[in-house]
Amino acid sequence: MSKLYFKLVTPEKTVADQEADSLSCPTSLGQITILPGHIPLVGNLVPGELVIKSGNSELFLNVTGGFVEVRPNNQIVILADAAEHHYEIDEQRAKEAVERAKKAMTETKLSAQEHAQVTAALERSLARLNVAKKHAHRKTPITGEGVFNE
Amino acid sequence: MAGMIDIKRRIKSVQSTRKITRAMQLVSGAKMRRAQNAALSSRTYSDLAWELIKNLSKTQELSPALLKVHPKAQKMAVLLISSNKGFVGSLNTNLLPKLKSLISETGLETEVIVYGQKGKEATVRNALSVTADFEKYERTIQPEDVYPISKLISDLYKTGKYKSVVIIYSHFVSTLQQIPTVKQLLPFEQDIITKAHKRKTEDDNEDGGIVGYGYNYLFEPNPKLVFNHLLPRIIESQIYQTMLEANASEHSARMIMMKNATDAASDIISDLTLTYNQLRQSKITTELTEITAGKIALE
Repeated sequence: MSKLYFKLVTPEKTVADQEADSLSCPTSLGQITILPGHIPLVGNLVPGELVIKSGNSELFLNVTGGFVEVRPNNQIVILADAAEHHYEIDEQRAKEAVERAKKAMTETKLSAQEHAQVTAALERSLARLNVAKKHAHRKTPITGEGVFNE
Repeated sequence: MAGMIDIKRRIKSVQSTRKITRAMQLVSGAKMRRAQNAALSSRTYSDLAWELIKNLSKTQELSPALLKVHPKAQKMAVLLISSNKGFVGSLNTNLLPKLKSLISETGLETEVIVYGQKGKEATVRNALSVTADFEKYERTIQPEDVYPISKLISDLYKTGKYKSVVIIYSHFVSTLQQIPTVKQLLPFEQDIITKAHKRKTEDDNEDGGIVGYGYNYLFEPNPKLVFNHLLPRIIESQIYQTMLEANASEHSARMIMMKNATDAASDIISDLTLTYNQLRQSKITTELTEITAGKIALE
């Protein structure tokens, strides 16, 4: 079976560059899954979870919006604003971020623009927290990577 | 002897100059590493984003305002990215000839948007019309810093009076090499600038640009929403990337200049020290001869 050639980049770094069997990503119309042989597509990403399946292994990443581009020849490019592996997420900090955003929404009077910013921040941190919680039971790879990245 | 005192003074002054240039070299060395890392790590993102828009602009039948071309327009907007301070060798002075040859080549009425003090001074000196002057801050560039510039550029282009928007900046190749570069930002296709100006990239083919696949893309959720989201982001990321490149170039150039200055100062010091010692030696010799001669005369 043909494979997907998948690349996930953020302005900071290239997060993933590998082959994969399938890829699920959150778009503004809901979660979509891309399999080899998909027609060219461009979509908006929303904050949420990205699942990359390759053989028996699965990769879970949190993305905070961006774009997905499916090119001919099974090339997939994801331009994410930010992305992190599920084991890189600091659950405590994610919780605090959610709290902060919620507090900001209830307490202060916000202009329309500020309100939009806070809502977006809340959405992002909720998505991070969900990804972290969902995979909390999974063994974290003992590489030392990600521990100091935060 | 009077000559010796002068030389001593000169050695002292060159030594203190070397102290200053060495300190500046160390400072820009640290800044350089940070700027280079920033520029290199975000290059993939901006290159892929650029490919994406090239692909899309070829295939799209529905055209948002930013994808339209204005072949009859008589104006061109130039974003000139330079440094605030000097001591960077020919980095800034190399940008202006690029701008001039671009103007004479296209024959369009040119309006300059300046970013960085040196570029502003040069445009004013050459009596070019300046549309906007953005202040460059001496700190790490944040993506937010780009928003006002990208908004201004998009708004200008949307008026339909501008045939193209280009960026002139120093492209970072290595610590020793920075190339003054002209990059066409808008329109995304139909190159107005000629091949000679362009930076040669690996994925360039015979036309000098990336060719779209000619496929029809599927849009999720729909073309309008995707473009509304995508186009501003792409313009921002391109401007952001050129700024990072310019920053990396600036600090690299300054580091090299300061290193050269430090080395030159060391050379001068060793030259002067040699002359000083020779003078001292000959003075001692003369004195000795005088004393001996005096002694012989007394005997």
